[in-house]
Amino acid sequence: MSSEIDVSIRDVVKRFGVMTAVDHVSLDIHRGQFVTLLGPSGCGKTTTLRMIGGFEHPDEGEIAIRGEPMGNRPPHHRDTSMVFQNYALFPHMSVADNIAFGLKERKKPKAEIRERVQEMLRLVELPEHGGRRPKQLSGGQQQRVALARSLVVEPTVLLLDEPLGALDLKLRRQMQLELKRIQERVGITFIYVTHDQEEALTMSDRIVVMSAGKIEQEGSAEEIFERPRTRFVADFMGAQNILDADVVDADAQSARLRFGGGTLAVSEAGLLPGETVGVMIRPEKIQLSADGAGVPATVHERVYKGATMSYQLALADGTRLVADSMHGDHAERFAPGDMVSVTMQPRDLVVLRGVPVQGA
Amino acid sequence: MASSAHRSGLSLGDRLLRIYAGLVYLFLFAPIIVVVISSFNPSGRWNVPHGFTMRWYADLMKDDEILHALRTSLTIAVLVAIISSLLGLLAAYGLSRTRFPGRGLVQALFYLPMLVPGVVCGIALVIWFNKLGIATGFLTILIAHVLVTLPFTLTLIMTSFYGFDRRLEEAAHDLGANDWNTFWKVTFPLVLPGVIGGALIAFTLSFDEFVLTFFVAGGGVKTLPLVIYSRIRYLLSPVINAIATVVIVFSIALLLLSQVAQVIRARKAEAA
Repeated sequence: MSSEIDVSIRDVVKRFGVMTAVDHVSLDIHRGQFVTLLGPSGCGKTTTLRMIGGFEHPDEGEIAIRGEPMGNRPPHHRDTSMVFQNYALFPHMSVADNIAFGLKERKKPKAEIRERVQEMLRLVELPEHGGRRPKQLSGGQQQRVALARSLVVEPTVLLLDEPLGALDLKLRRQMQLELKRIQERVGITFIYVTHDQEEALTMSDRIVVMSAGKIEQEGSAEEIFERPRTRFVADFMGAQNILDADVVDADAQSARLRFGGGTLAVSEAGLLPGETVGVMIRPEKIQLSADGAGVPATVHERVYKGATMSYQLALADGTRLVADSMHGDHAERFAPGDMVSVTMQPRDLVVLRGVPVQGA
Repeated sequence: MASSAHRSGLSLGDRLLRIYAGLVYLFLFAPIIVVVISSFNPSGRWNVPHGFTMRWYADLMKDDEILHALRTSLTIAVLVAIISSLLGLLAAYGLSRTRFPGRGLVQALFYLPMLVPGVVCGIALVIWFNKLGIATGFLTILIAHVLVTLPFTLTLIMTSFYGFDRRLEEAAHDLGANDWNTFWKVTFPLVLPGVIGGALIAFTLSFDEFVLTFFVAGGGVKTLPLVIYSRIRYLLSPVINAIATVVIVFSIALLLLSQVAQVIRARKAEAA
């Protein structure tokens, strides 16, 4: 993958009245990548996207596309193209005319336009639909037309604002894979906005998690999912076990933490004794045994999940934990009410910074 | 038994309602029907006709004063339709797209001519034209008609703008269209039904405007309503019935045409 930077966002601030929608965001987006801005509604992801497209202008900071500062340049003078949430297809034009719109504005010869439109219709697998009106197409088909209309102008960056939001789950899954396929084929940088973490994981080369106008964490899908850095990210990515813990003592590579049920060793640098942190562990990384070597817990509930058995556990202080265990022939089984002992390996514990998530 | 009662279907209340509705229509249309029948009445009066004649229509074709007035009225109505819908479009665009202090007041002022009595408006215009030194005539009729039709065209065009999805304009900008092209390729075609509706209502209102026209016409220019008025004052000519019938037929045809056009549009959108 090329390391050239397509979009560079430097210390950008955007305010609407008294509300700060985007708060000192800096981000580099590399050429040819599928980058997702992920976060709950109101986190500033759509505003950031709209600023890249030129629909809003930063109050502070600078956005550059391929090294060129954009300033307050309007959308029609930028090499970006946007796929809107509701598709925003022109209802008074045929599908082919919708796709041809950008090329006509660029004064391309008619023969070339016709050819390119056909090529695009084939790319999005709607070769026979050029003469129809957008309203005659299904939601998924309209979505593809919107994509074709934006791609045909060969933008430097394609911006997508929750484009799958209106589709049902099955179609969504299908379109996620298709979007990824098209992105790989055309090789254009995609910047995708969504609040759906699963969607982000499926498609993205890189994920940027945002909250309250700031970037919480940026990384590959795997990094974000496996090693969240803050409570917010862990919670947003669907972490089931987040424990509150106090740092008892720490050295350069590791630390010892005290939490509701006992102490834990973690391999995390830079912790200070007395600090309060969160600790995340995946349910499948928790080992249960009956022999009493680890933290004592009570089995609260047991749920059969096919490949795994899921246990709801309660620690001595009432802290809840979820543990999934494979239930092969050799695995021990526990029933509600059983006392078990929980062991967690230091390498599986992820230390989270930041304040506890409200209501979590 | 039960099924036949069910089939005849209507309760007493429903029947009364239907009869009532029929009476309302009769009340509305009886005078017009009388005029149409009288236009074919050999006696030329508004009594029960004995026989049928086209004589009044033949007279109408030779009546230069009425034909001239008809031409004047049509010319004015067409010009008013164009000017009023154009001004309505500009005003609606501005009012729906901008936020400025006093915007509500400005919008309310646009609707004012609808509320001011025609007589008051007429006197005010006559004084105003006089002060400005504009001779009453064709131009003053035109200005007066644009004034009274604008609230209606603006209202109709505004509805098109209220339901407008601004993201369509953003999409056009995004695909490289400047403001001018965005307006003509996306905004205008989508608000066009409102503009056409506004033009039609302006045409209709202008065509039969009487009170204001009476004040601002001066001596030279006579619109059709003015001629009809002077005829029924001095000599009750049966030709009036004929021209009235022509106007009625023309209005109904216009209405049907716009309905047909809408149906065709809808079918096209479904079938294409």
